[in-house]
Amino acid sequence: MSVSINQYSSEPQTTEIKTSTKIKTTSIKVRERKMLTTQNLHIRYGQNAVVKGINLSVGQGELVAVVGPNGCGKSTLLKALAKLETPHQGEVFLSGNSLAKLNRKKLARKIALLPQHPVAPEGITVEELVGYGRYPYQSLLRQWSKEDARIVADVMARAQVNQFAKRRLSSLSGGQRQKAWLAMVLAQQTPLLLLDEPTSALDMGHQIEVLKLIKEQTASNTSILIVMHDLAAAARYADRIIAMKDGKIIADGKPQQVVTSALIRSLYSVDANILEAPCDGTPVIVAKSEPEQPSRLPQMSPDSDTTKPTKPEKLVA
Amino acid sequence: MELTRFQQHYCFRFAHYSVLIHPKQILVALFLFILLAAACLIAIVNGSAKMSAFTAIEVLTGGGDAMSKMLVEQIRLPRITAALIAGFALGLSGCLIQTTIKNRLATPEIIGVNDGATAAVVLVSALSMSGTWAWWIGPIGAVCAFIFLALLAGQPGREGYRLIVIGMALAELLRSGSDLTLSMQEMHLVNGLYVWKNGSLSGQGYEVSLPVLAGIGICVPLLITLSRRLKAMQLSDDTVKTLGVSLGFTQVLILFLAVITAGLACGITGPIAFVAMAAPIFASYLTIPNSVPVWLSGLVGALLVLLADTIARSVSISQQEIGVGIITSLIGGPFMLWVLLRDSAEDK
Repeated sequence: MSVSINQYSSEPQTTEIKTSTKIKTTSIKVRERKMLTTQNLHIRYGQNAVVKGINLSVGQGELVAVVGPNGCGKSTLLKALAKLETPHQGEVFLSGNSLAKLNRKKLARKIALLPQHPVAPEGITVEELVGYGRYPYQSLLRQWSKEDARIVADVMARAQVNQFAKRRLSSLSGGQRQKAWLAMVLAQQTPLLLLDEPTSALDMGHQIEVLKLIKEQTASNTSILIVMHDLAAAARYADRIIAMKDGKIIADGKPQQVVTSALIRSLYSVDANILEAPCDGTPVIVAKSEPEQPSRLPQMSPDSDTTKPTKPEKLVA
Repeated sequence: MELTRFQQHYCFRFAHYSVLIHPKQILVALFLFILLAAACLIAIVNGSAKMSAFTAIEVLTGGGDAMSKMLVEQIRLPRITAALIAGFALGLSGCLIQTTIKNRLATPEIIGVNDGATAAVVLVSALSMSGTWAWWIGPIGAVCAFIFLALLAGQPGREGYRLIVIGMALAELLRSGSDLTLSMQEMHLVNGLYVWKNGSLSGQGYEVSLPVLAGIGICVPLLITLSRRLKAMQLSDDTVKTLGVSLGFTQVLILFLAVITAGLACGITGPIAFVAMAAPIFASYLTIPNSVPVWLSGLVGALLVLLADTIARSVSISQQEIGVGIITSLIGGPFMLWVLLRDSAEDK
């Protein structure tokens, strides 16, 4: 699937900024042109600051990957963008409108979120699950319109789950299940998709299938923000990578510029070589083999901040 | 007008309206109505004074002798009505609370709602000294107990267990409060109250059913408009919200309706245990997956209370009748054990 080149046209045009006094109005213009922007976003859980002053933007039809170590605030950020967390400070703007002023009903037609561990009702079939994506368009006397039926059939075909339509979700494999969930989110037909680690639990084949499906949506000008761990996959499929550490953005740019061994060291405390993929030159990360470790245990303990959060994920995976 | 299928549903479309109907749900409702009719007949026939089914039908169709007529119309029918309406209210309330808290054990009798209603009725009736029975304070007591529980628990916790455990402690506290109040009164004054406190439909006329019926009447239209949200609430909280449901407001509204309904039923009949837990579980076995059986739970609840009351009337061992609440507790204890064991087996 080719991606049109003009997707970067949404970047601010410098010719518009004529005098420095107009900076404020221009930033509002930029805000309006971007699908999603945040301004100095802070989020706290009690006294614990999780997101500390995030400024980011997602253009129309842009696919942005957010990477970073476990516990860096990626998922919390994503929740705040979907209005599931209230910012302690700062604001989120959707096409220039403050998220705080949009009600949930309107928001459901603008932002769709796929959480990390979604829960489905017992015994639900794939088609019924995907049908839930039409909820924002339905009402008591408009329970299943022709349009609903058409769109559900369409997204199931795109996600390649139409052959499982009548099967129970619980009877499918992890990869097929994830595609069904993605189809549900697509049925919501929103201009912005927020995806929390949609590929983390999948095998390589399903991972590529799911990422391709996600990438295809940008052709219809859908903006996508995706949280993921696989940097190489992020570099291949995303237009832009945002790297987060300790609640802050430490890098934001095109994959080739962002993915460096310095970044890997800073994010994960891992020394790595960055190679170029033979086919298309996207960065490939290879961790350097560690030299002899006579003092492995003393090395681990001071870094308890970075080593601890990785443990639960290994158990889940 | 157009008729198509969606999964097992029939979809009726007219202009830009469309409604989904599942044939199985209608069949199950019909089946339950037939069972209810049969149970009513059994309830009319049985009791301290037996009569034949033939006589009962004769009376119902307008014939019969004066004695049977009096027995059916003045004593048994009002009591059956009270049992049906209280049971419907309990089943409805149980289904709503279970769905909102997302745990089978979250029912009015477990989380202290029934005990709040009971304590309020006992306290007000005892303090008024007039020997009257203050059923109307039941829903107020239930709401107060639930607000207190919400403040104590703060949040439902993982799968609602925080709310349930704190609710159980609160229920125990409230129960001992009403026991203490009762024990401080003179025996002859509180005899009726004591029978009521064990859950009893004895000697009830049509008038006791009216408040509960009114409560259900308010619930019905509200729940029809909330039915879509109830169904969506089966998904995880984050998903429900991003689909456009104001979850917090919806939860508070549904719980308020459920607690008022349970409080009204409790005020009239006394605390009838386990019906609110069992009815939605039976109803979910009868219905299709991915649905919230609000109305079927009500019908099953009505059936359970009516059957329990018929047993209570028929098998009186001593001079005094056994309360319907005692019968449901007898059946309910093992049932709850079964629910707990089944849930832990599913977790494995």
